[in-house]
Amino acid sequence: MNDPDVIVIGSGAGGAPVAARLCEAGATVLVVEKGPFYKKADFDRDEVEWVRRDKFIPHVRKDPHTRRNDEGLRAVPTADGWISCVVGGGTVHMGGYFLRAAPEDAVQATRFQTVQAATAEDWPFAYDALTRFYDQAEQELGVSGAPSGKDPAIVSHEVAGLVDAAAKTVGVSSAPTPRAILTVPRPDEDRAACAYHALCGSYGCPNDAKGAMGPTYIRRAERTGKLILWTEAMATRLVKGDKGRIEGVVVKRKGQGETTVKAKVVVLAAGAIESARLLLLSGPGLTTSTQVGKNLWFSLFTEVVGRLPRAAFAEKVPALMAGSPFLNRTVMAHGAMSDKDQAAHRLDRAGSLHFGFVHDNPIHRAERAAVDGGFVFGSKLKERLHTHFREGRHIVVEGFGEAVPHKGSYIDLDPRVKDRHGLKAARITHFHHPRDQRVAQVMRETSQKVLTEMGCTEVKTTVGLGETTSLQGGTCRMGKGPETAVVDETGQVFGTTNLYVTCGGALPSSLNVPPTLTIIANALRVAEGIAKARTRPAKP
Amino acid sequence: MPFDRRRVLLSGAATLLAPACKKEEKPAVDDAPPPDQASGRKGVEVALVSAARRILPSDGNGPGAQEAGVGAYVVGLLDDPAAAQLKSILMKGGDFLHRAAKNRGAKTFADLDAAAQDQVLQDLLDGKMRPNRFSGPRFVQVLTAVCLEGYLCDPRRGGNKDKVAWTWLGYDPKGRGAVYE
Ligand SMILES: Cc1cc2nc3c(=O)[nH]c(=O)nc-3n(C[C@H](O)[C@H](O)[C@H](O)COP(=O)(O)OP(=O)(O)OC[C@H]3O[C@@H](n4cnc5c(N)ncnc54)[C@H](O)[C@@H]3O)c2cc1C
Repeated sequence: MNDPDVIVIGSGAGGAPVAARLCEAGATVLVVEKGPFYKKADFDRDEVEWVRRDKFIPHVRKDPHTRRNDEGLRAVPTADGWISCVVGGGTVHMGGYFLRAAPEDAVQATRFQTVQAATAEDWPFAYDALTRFYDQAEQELGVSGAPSGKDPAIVSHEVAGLVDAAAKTVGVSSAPTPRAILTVPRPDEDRAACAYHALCGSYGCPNDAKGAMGPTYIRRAERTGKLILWTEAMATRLVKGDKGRIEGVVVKRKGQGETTVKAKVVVLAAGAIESARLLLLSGPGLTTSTQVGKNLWFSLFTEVVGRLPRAAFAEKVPALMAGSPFLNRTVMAHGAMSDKDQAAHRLDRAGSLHFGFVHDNPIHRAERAAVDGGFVFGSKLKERLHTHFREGRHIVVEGFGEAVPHKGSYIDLDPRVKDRHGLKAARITHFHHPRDQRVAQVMRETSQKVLTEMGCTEVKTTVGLGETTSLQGGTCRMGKGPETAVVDETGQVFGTTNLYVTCGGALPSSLNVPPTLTIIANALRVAEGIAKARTRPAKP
Repeated sequence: MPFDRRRVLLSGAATLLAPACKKEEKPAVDDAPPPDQASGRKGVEVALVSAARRILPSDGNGPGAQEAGVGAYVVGLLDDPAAAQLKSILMKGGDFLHRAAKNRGAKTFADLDAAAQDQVLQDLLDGKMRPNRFSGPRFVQVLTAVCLEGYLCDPRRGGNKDKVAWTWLGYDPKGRGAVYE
């Protein structure tokens, strides 16, 4: 193989769009991906195989992260913090809630001036600069119900009417969630429209209706003939050259040992935790930034469930028990709050609430039935199963809020725990900032109010204040300068001339929505910059 | 981990249910067997199969573990490399059940009557019996989790024979139409 022009590390939301754009601009791109490539024919609904045995992420004994709640504590091995190790990264088995960030998300530091101990950072460019790339991403992936408006929203279940009405009474917005799921087939791309099997999150899509990276940006890159894709290949170190240049990348390929590949440009998109880990593993002096691994955020998460008993709703909602289509509602989009609530909670915004049916995985649902209300087994368990599956529908409200980045949450290298290659594991130190409590309270209470107003019984909070570690960022964030950030406005790592970061690690804040559409839009933005800069004619 | 439709009982969350297991308390039962008295694989298997039938009994209200082939599924996990992390607790727990039966004068766990089997499981869950080598509540929860797997899995994995549990509960893996009717 000749040296490629570009090496992209990681083929997920941050990596694949860059590979596509740079291939389309005429560069040869090597994508180095730690995991295998599953295609649509591989995806079935075997819950045990795909969901309960961690097929998407490495086993904790082979590739551990470690985690602790505060420094000074010993971190314990965990699988937390892996998003997905396959071609397409986390986009393969995501739910595909694809909302844009709001303009306020771009200026968290400005908004948080009086929030004590926050280490927030504004985006180093105006929010509007991303609009064009949001449009591109929504159209190229086929985000249904998106603001750029090509494909109609996912068809909603009758129960969505109850959510809309209840939200109105409570005084919050309710609208269909834009989804990275096709509602109009694209035969040219060999992608079918959604078949409403209702098992998007946690599974790969057997129709390629989901806008995962494999059937979208990776396929676009393949079509140029310029893509080289190495699967089951792990980048283990960046090789430093002179004057801030990164010469290449050391890669461990399954069954083939280690090779060093050289390239003109290196793009790091291994997810927030692994990108920071790779920078740290590559040794000191790589960047002038003091912030690698710091300012870690996980999206602030709450979960509230409620039940619509069949007996009470049989007449009002005849289709109550129908498995599909989707409920698919976003309530309080972007955390918009009334003036009164803002004053009462000392917050400007809270977080978005996604209303859906409890995920259809039957084993998972049965476990919930066994646990909720106190663990039982035997005939009591079977009664609960019957009630759970047959006598009503469970609604789950997932809240995605804005976490405050602060000094106490970060990634570094674990001094004790190593992976199967003998490389130090990423150590996660994470706890919530006090403001997160107030955000979570508003998300919980609003979820409870809407569910109760809908007529749900058994409304209860299952996660009061949590975090989803698969929505991660901040560790290589973009910003003003090397004292507060890792990459500049163009996505380039401070103190280097040819190294970029485009995964979730580059986003300074968790937004008030799940972040993946924004990761993709930002990756497209950075890729355009690289293509322009690198194809500019040399000065005479 | 939240936002995760993976596992409840097999994940850390389940430890919330295990208040009975405090380290400083002395075990109520010393279960460490002298090496020559360990139950052996057969005793463990019989115990797990019988316990599965108590977790999901054939009680006239839908199929039980027996009709769904759950016992064989659970025993199969002991040799499934993908479930390697479950093997230790299932083996230790099965061994404990076997010896608990022997202590009560039965040959195997299956020879205890249903009420006595239930009592052993409940005592493990409540921390009234505290094994040395594993957490009693954790074992009952893991066993329940794998029984629910064997009950509601894709039949090609060996459990949920003839889709009996899916049919009873109205689950359709294709999710379309009025599937819960
Ligand atoms: C179950 C689930 C549901 C989700 N649902 C949603 C949703 O509804 N909406 C939403 O916005 N987001 C959702 N997400 C989150 C979404 O998947 C992530 O935000 C997104 O994938 C992050 O993009 P990334 O580029 O930072 O990382 P990833 O997409 O994870 O890509 C990183 C890639 O890098 C590879 N890699 C890591 N280290 C190395 C290395 N050293 N060498 C080579 N390759 C490496 C990994 O294998 C991986 O493929 C969900 C995630 C999960 C797990």
